[in-house]
Amino acid sequence: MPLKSILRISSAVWVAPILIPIVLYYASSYPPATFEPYTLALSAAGEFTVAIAVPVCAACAAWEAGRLRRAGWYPLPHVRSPLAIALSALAPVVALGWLSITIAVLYRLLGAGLVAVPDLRILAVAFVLFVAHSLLGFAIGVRLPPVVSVPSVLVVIWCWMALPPALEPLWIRHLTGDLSACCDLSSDLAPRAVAGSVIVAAGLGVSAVLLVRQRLDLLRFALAVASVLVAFGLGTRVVYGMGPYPAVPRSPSALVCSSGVPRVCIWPEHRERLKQAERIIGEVIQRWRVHGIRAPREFSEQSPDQLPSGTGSFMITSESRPGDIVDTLAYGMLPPYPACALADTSYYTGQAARDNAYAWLAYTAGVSRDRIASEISPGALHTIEMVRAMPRDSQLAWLHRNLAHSLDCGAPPRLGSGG
Amino acid sequence: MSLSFERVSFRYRRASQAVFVDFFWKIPNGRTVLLGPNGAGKSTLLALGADMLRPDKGIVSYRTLQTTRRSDRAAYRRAVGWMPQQVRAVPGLTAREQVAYAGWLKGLSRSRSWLAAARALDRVGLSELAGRKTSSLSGGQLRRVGLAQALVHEAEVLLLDEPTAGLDPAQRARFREILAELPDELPVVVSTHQVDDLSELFDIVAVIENGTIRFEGEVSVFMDLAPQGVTERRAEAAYTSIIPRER
Repeated sequence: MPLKSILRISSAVWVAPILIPIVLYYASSYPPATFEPYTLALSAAGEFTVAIAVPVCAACAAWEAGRLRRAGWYPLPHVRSPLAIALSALAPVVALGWLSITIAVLYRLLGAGLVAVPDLRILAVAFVLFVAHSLLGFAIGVRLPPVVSVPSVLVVIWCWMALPPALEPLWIRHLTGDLSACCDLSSDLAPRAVAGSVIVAAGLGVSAVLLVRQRLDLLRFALAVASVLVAFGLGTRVVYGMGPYPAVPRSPSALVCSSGVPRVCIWPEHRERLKQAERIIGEVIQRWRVHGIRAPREFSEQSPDQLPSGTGSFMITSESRPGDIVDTLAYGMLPPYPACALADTSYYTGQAARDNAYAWLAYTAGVSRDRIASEISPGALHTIEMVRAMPRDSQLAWLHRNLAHSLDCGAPPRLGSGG
Repeated sequence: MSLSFERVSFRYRRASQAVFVDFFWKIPNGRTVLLGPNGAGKSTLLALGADMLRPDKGIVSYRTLQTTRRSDRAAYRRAVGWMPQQVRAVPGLTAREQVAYAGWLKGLSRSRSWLAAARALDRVGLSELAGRKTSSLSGGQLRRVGLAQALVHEAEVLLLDEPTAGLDPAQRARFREILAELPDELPVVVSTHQVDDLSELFDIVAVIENGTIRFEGEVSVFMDLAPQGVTERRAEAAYTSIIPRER
């Protein structure tokens, strides 16, 4: 059959004018993990709609199988293998699904002003999802009449794709192929999330290949069930313990660094702001030096928890003004929060000291009084102004005391009547 | 032709009785008509020959190709053209698309099957309806589409299961004309209830009953089985001499 005949009869062609606008609408309304022009994050946000497109395509696949089933053609003694027949019928369906996601991804990229190749890992996972679930829809469609197979495939696969991301434990969502929560600039797509999704999809695909055989026997059925169970087992083993985000720290090798002193490293998406960042950081270091603060010789945009020791951190966005960058430099000079500050049940007594230290560092770095006033209490601001009037060594001693206290978890206040 | 059944046993899954037990038949060359009462095993035999059904025991083979041998299966299926008793329209497809699809399923490339579909439809006299959806064709036209499907991949043997059942006399006559136009060198087996005009169409008659070939011979020999003195409907008389009516 020529391509135009295939396109004329395929349900994918009829569904496309409905599916693609829906996919575009949802993909454009879903917020990416970062608003920075990060190809990966925008591609992932575009992939958000697999939860809609995959079940629709699987239902189309069930419909296509139903076409052969109704005509009594499927069990005939063909030369082509059942898999070849299925893939031939499913090519337009898979193409529609994958195209809809690719269009959504490109729409996100172009909407952010990025003319770039989408992240191919995201598109590859989407492709695997479409192939596997469409095969599954086809396998069900050859066994059940379309009136049963189409709606049941649509609903069951939608539930599988859409519900786990809303459920706990959090790692379950990484089995479905939903990568939309990936990634801010400091992170990259987690290979475990990709592997988990692909393993489960492959398991479903293998079971579908076993089920599309013309002569289905108990052994094949048992193998099909086993392949799903094994895939879920393996997939769970891979993603077990993961948090909500399918992300890992981004490789520092992607950083773009200046060659001067201080050495400043930023993510390639901010490449055009490297010189500005280098200049601002140089100025802040000078100001701190006057006040006796020894700043690191290297600053990086990496996530603070990934920084090598002796490297200062700062943050920059496409929208950052110079004052914002200076402010993040002051934050970057603070020590990491102690464990008690991060635990839900602990009481952190060092916050006031931390605020003091931040305010002093920001003030001396050149952040405006108004900006600092908007971030700390009036009392703390008054304290800082008094400290700033003290001799340099006294200021330094005060700063170090506050930095030390900021790590103090202390004891919780006694609030009872006996306290 | 050397399509043969050797010690073939077959029983439908939920049936209490086997259709064939140690059945042996080597289909002769030429055009064979397979006669028999309902339930005699005609359709089952052709379905086994087409590899639509697989024997529980025994061998179905064409030349050196066996249906039970996985490595032979594709070549066997390519060699045998089969028209099932019920030809159904694939929803949405035109006659040419349906025949081309059948050709592709039989291993032809897409482009070859598209061209071959036009030729096959021409052979069955349906060129003018090639662009019509099969769902809108009459029963007789759909049978011809079914024959075109069996012909499209240039099979070496043709098995036609009750190709004229349910057709009106005019459609039956048209179908017979088409069968008569098929090349002489193409071996054909036709199962049927109709015994008229046997001599014009077929070389061999085989009669099957209860999974056993009760008669096999040339048409003239078959006709001679009619009781002496019968001049009209001799084929029917010959047939009832083998399979009496009360059965």
